[in-house]
Amino acid sequence: MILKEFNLDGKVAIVTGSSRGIGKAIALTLAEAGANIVVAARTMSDLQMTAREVRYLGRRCLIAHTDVTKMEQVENMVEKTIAEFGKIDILVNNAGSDVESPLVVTGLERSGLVPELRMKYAGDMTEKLWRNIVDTHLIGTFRCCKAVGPHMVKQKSGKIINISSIIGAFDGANDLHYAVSKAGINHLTKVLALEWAPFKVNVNGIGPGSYITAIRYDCRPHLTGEQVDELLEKSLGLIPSGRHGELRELGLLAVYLASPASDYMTGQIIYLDGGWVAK
Amino acid sequence: MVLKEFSLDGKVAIVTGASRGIGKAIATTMAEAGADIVAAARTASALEQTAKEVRKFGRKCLVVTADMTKMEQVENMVNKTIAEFGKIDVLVNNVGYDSEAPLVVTGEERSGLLPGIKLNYKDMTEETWRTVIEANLGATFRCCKAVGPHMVKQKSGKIINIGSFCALLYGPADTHYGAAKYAINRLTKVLALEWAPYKINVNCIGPGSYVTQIRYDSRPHMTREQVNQVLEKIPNAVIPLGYHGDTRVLGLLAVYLASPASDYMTGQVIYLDGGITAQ
Repeated sequence: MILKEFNLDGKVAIVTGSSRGIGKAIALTLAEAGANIVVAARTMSDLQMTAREVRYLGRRCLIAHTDVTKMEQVENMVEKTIAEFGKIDILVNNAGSDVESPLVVTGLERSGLVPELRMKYAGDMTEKLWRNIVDTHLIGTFRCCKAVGPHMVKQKSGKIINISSIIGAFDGANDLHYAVSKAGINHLTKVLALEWAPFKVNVNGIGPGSYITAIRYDCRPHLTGEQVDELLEKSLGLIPSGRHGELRELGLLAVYLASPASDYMTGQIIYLDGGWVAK
Repeated sequence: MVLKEFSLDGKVAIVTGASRGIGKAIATTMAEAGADIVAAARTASALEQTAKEVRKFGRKCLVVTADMTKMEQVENMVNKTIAEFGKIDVLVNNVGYDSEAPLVVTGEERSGLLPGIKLNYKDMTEETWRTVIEANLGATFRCCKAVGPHMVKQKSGKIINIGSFCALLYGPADTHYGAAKYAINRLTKVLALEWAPYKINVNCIGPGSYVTQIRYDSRPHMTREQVNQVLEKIPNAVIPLGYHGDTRVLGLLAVYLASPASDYMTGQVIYLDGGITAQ
């Protein structure tokens, strides 16, 4: 027997970065639970694939070709959503990327996942790289909240789910920009929760632990794909549950946070990480 | 459409303190989601109403009288559960007790929310201190210790501890209860790490402000009317969402934490408090 409060029938959800990985899984699981989806990301071909899968589940899907580092594109995404669906019930701020880099290369850097492994970084973290990562994650989340907020405030209802990371809570060596962005997203979550509580808009965060997605490879241009494979395999020893997470599990938590079941929850960051952050 | 992973069909859940309030809501909501229930508390008569509501959902309910401050009674509860059901899938450590008191009464204590009310506290005795620690923290320890070996052998299990927003709030007349609840947070994380290799998930729900009997019982120095006055002030003064919670929402979060949907979550303390702890 599955309880009705976990149902998303009739809801409209925007999911940024839903072209692949965590964003795609969340979009599809929300759709399976009944929501119509607005998929937003930079790569049209990948977006079309996600849209196809959402529609295959019997839900409507609007494609919004969006770069969250550009405010006009974010505003456009919101306008298209209102034009198509008349409302926004859920916003999942998931868009993001990463490129590991120490702030200053010392030559002594080791992998956080496999401490015996020495890392050969190409160079210092440039200001450009710093800005790029902060712009996508933290400021991207700011832009989407700013564009969607007025609609949710007017509706006197809404659910915002920010995707953080265990790296926002601990470690983060050689990943300063990403770590600080995610920590920033955690605090943004709490502050917005307080600002919008009077309007019954819930703002919460999910902190994923270790999941196998493209970003795990893309963020390590200084390693080959095989080296990353080996690193991820060896890192299992650090995870209390002894396994990587399944993307669907993130989708299910997002369903809980998007559904009426969680109406009394706001300002929370929940880690889904096999116990990593508890260490 | 409600997703299958949120179902508790076939599961057996022990809920302590199931005779009323939060424990009763969790027991009945889990039953609605498909679980058979072992309802445990100190008085059988009080448990009968809970049992009736569980059985209305077509689920089995084993009623067990047990004082969780006594190890043999806790072990007896576990033995009866195994004898009846052969397994334990879920343990909800909900039993609790509070009795507000300053460490040393000065005679000048007044209500924080209603300064017009003078509070006729009695000194905190060693007995009050001990009882609050034992009934909250000690009870959680004992039940985990008795249930743990079964879950370890099964290589599966879900433990849900009930904490409180009081763990993070610092106010007068609470050296004991907040301490016990904070300690439960810590116990949650440590046990999560100890039992992760056996695929046992240990998490904690921190309720915010719900109107249950404990809000009155914990204030022997106030009349019922005075407590009502305080409870009336709390939503606007303390709770961002502006209302007390409905115990059903705690039941729904417990269902998520008891279900396969949360298999990758362990060591988490989640506050369901309308934003109180986000402040």
